Amino acid sequence: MMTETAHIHLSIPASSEFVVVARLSVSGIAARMNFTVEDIEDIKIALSEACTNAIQHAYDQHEGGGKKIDIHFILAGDKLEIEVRDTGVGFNPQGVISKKQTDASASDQFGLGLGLTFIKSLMDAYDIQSELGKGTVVKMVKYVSQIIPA
Amino acid sequence: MTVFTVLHDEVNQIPVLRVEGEIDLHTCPALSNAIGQVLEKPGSHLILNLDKVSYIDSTGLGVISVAARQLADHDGKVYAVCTQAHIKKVFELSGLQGKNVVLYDSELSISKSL
Repeated sequence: MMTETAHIHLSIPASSEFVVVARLSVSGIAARMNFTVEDIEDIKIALSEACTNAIQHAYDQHEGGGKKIDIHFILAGDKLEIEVRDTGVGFNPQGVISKKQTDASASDQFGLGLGLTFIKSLMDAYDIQSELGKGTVVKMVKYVSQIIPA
Repeated sequence: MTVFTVLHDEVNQIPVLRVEGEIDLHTCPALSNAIGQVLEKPGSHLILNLDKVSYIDSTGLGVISVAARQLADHDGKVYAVCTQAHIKKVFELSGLQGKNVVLYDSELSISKSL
């Protein structure tokens, strides 16, 4: 088993047309780690949701340049850790997690407020750190499924 | 990468939108516009053929959910064609599937059921 840790860093402009770039990148990384096709699809969605959140929420009302999303991939054996970092408006994590889904769907933004739900259900672990005015870091982990011999 | 396209058609007077490509934050406004144009005309149902959609996330489901809510006002539904397991899974996770959004395996099976 690969035990050496590899670190890949991707920085994308916080703009909708680059979400696909993040998705294609993680697809290649996950394939390299021997994730199943199904797991790769799950990871692609989770990362896209994190990027979408950063673009729609962190930077939506944010003035000035330098709007970017820094994505760190840490490949450690059968563990893929993804960190999605923005320097946008930030929020109170407790507030967002307890907020009713219907509130988000009433706004003019796309996504139903389902993004976090998808990250939760598609990844093995996740964590959100956010600070008002400083930005948000979403960390998520997925393990390569062990194939049990028949 | 497949270019995102939405083709408008009609089957038995029911509007059909055949979508191809990836539905994400960047492409969902185009899907939303296409659906909006179709829903301007009176009618009760919408067939959304997602068979050639290779990716969908919460942004696409948001657009579909808005369409389903609009159609529900006239007792209409969104009939979505999708056979790919990873696309179906997203619908299942979203909880959207059921009352106003129904998944089918083909356009033919929808027209037979209506």
